[in-house]
Amino acid sequence: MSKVGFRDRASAAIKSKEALATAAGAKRFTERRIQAAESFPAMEAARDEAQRIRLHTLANLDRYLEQFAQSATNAGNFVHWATDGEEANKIVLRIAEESESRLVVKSKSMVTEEIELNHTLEEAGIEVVETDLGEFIIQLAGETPSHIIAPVVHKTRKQIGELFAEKIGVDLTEDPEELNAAARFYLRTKFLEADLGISGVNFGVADTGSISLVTNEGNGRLTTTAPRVHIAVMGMERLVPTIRDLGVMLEVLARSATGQALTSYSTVITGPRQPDDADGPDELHIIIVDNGRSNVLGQSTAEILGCIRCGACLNVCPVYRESGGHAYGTTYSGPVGAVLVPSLLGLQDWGDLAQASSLCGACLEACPVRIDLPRMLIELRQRRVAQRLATPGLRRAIKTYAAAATRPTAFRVMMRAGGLAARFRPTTSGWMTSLPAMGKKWTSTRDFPSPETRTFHQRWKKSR
Amino acid sequence: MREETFIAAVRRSVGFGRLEDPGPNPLPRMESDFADDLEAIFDTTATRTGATVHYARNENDAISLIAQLMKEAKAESFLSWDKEHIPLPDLTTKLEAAGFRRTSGHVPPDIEARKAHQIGYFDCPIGITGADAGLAETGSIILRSGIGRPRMASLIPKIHIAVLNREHLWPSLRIWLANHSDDATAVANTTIVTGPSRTADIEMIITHGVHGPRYLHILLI
Repeated sequence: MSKVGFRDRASAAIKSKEALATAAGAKRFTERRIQAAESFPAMEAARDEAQRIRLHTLANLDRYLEQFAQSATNAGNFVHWATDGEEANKIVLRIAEESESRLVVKSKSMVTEEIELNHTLEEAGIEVVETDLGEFIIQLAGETPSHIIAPVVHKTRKQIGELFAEKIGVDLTEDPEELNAAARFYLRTKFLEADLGISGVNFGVADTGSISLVTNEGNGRLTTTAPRVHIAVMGMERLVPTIRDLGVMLEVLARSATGQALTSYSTVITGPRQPDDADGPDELHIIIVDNGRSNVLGQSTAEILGCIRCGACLNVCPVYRESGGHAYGTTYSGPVGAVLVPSLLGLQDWGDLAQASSLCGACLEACPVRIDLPRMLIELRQRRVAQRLATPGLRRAIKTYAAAATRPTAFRVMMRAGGLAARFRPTTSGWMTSLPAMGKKWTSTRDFPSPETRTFHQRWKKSR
Repeated sequence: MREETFIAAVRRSVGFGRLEDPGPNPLPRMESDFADDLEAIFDTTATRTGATVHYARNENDAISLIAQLMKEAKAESFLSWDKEHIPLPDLTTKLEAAGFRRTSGHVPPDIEARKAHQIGYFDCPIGITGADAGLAETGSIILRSGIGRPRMASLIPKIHIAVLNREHLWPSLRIWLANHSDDATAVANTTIVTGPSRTADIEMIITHGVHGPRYLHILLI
């Protein structure tokens, strides 16, 4: 277990400015998502189809990867394979060096955050500029994103105004329009002079070797159009079988992410600039990254690889809303992170993330591809107990309870004791805010339901 | 690493059978909620995305409308698709005759010349393109790259004007794809544009024109 765990990070974050801003943003995202779903009568049917497409692809991923690589190569792309982040970074670096790239523009990509690509490039003396407005702000601040699709949901406009004034020398302002214009002006030159553009991939289409990218700002299009060389880094699970399947995924993605019917720009790229095309990159490299995914595919949490990174589960999660994305301490936060990260990186260091949930089920209800996140959170918790990774206190408590619950006399005594306690310390709200002894730590962050003063058995006897 | 080794690891995990295969998605649901008045629906949905929809009865009306938009923006030049790809064959010639300068959208292959050419786009005020299709359900237009169809024309200028033949209106992306799946992937780049460039990264407040166009005008002819 990591020295500083989720609990410590979350206690530090709760009620901070960051967490308050996150809660407000998450609430608005959820309102917009629900509105979008309500105004699209076919939403539920589309979700069923989207779930089916993702499950079918994952269950045949080896075959679809081969097909994708073959079609992408036929379309004129260079396809590369990377077992882990280090290998992926090396491939990017090699391409950057071969193309003598000094300036790299990047569009937002979770997988390149995961493999910490920017770090590798910067160490090699290459200038890397994030171009998504949110990611650009994160880069200026030297932070990490706190939300899959809204990286700076934790920041206020005042903080962003001050950051811009300090780092890119514009006049102090809090007006989003002016901040936006300042970023446009600053980043435009970077786009037009960049040697290399690096993007992620939202979906790869197996039968045509196409990659699809969705962005609202247009930075994804500029990144993949202006520079002479384009590198697309793709997590290996991002495939769909056909272009029609892609259409279904796009139908649910934007509605679940931002509440738009479609993102401003949904792009399908099938190869580099063709002979005599007016513009576009001359070279296109696709790097397919495993980095622990094939291992997850063989686990009981394989279903998490169906995630399409819309962020809907973060926005509805009471734990994410209160603690913010940074409390998870890693690239992927919220319910998806709580399942994906321990699966990818191991229970030993990251298992405590599976506890970062109230198991209320809101994430399953929100997920456009109906990933059963609560099932997998419980599954990970069970694995943690089985591997003796849970805290000694929790294990002792479970053992004590199990011993009492399997012996009728002991159980009756325990219940009566609870009833007596409730009679001596009555509550008006029905919740106890502090428990004695072993329960103290538990109630330091939550309330405990007051036991009934009389047990079920006592009442049953009386009512007869 | 070699493809074979990579795939072998994936195949091993697939072999554990952790996921039940529901089979490929059958032919997509094709019913449309609104078959009849695509134009009226497109008008509503496109306007909702922040685009402006215009109508022209004939080519002359269309050209003067575009010239008017350019004058209002105090534009002196424009970047555009070649005339055979815009359903107004005389548009670019007439705009040039009216004194607007046409910026070449053909990027030279040499690396330094390429950068120099693209830097010239920095302040480009107007981009004019055709559109391969319009989608009523979402208010989107579809743009395919190719010879004489610079991608930058719909991307770099502050104002993007797209000319769409109303015959090319379709109910939805799903239905267009079912009928044109090859068209979408036969070219290097197909982009579905739904409204102007936007962001809500700062406190969830929506603003337009971050990197792409701030204004999108769709002219139906």
